[in-house]
Amino acid sequence: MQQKVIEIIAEIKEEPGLLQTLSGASDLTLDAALDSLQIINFILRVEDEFNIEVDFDTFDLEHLKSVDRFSAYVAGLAV
Amino acid sequence: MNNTVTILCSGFGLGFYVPGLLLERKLTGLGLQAEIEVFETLMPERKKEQTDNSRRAYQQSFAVALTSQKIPSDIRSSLDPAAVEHLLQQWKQEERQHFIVLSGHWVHVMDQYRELAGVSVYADLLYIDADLSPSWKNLRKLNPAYAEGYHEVSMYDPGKQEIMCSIDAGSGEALPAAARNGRLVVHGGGWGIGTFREKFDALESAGYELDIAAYSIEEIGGPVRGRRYYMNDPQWRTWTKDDSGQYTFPPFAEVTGNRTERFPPCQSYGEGMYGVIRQASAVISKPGGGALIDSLASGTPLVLLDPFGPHEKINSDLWVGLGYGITYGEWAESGYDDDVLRKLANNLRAARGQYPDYAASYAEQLSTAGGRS
Repeated sequence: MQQKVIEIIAEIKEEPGLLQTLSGASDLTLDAALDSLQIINFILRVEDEFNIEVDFDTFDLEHLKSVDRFSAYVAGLAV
Repeated sequence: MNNTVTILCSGFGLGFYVPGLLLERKLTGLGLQAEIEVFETLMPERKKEQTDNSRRAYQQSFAVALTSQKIPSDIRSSLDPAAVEHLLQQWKQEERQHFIVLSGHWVHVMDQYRELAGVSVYADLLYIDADLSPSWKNLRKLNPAYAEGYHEVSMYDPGKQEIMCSIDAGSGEALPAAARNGRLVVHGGGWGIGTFREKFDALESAGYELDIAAYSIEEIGGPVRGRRYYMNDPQWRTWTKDDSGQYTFPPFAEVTGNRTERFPPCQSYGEGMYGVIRQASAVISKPGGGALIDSLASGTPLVLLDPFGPHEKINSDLWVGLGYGITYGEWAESGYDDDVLRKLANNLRAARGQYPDYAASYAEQLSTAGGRS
């Protein structure tokens, strides 16, 4: 899942180079530099890709602190 | 001692701005001093530009708009500390004590002011939706006890299916059905979001003439018989004062797609889209807090489109439960029956004067408390 999440970030940012530079530890807003609109489009893509629905009550800004944390959140929803 | 009532609005949409302006006008009319502050004035320019970009993206895609509500945010990162400090010092110097807060974003600033003020601070947190809207939900996520020391006022009690108070839109009595023009107003709230654009053809096929809110000149097509477009000045921003230093209703005009459209200023709410709404048979729109205020004040029923988030779903359910609105799907099933709209309008007319006016109650309490200070 981690790799797919990075692929979606690179797609949203239109920066293929991110496939090499991002890792599980990368922060989505600092390292990947997703702005607020890009985060929205990222979430929409993730919901489509993994057939899940992000929910305000369970989603937290902490989940954007790393690709790994975000992937774990998505994996939890997909259970 | 300062009895000025400071009304704290947000200019993200019109729903947390116009009600503040209506309250300011009403309180002033009742002999109180009232002033507006708009949250976006505390944001740096680049953040305001982001707000504009978000608005455009939300207009283009309702899915994007809806998803924005799923992502928590901390609005404090959007504040210009120098602008906040300047405002706090101004309030402190003027010993401001009385506040009405329409957006959860402002509570972060109010918390600072209460520590700094040196005088008692009385602030109503006024909820204009039937459930917490995103600014309040984000605030609650950051501070579950955010309301401590504030006075919470809900306009609606969805559990009891009741309206607790109303906001006067100023333009006089609701018009009876016979004095209305039989047209339908179709809009997407202050931001022009939602599914309203998909409904034009079906409504016109059912025989209705439409008054449509446009949000850019580009979206106005060729002339369609019976169809009119109206628009707020697209250059106007809620956080910009006019030449006399006042916050205003959006400059407004009927438009035809001519790029040299002029948008005269509106001195009263009734000179804008609300003036069109009060003459119509119904409004077709998402169930925003502003739409509910307009509906109740003008006696114009709502045909409810898809809600913008869970709080608007509760708004929608409330209006249906009270008999003041109907979901678009249900109305379509009735064959777009105008009798259905008439019954809803009659319900609204029957409720005239039933709900206490928030501003009048506020003014009375302030007076009873002898200024409370």
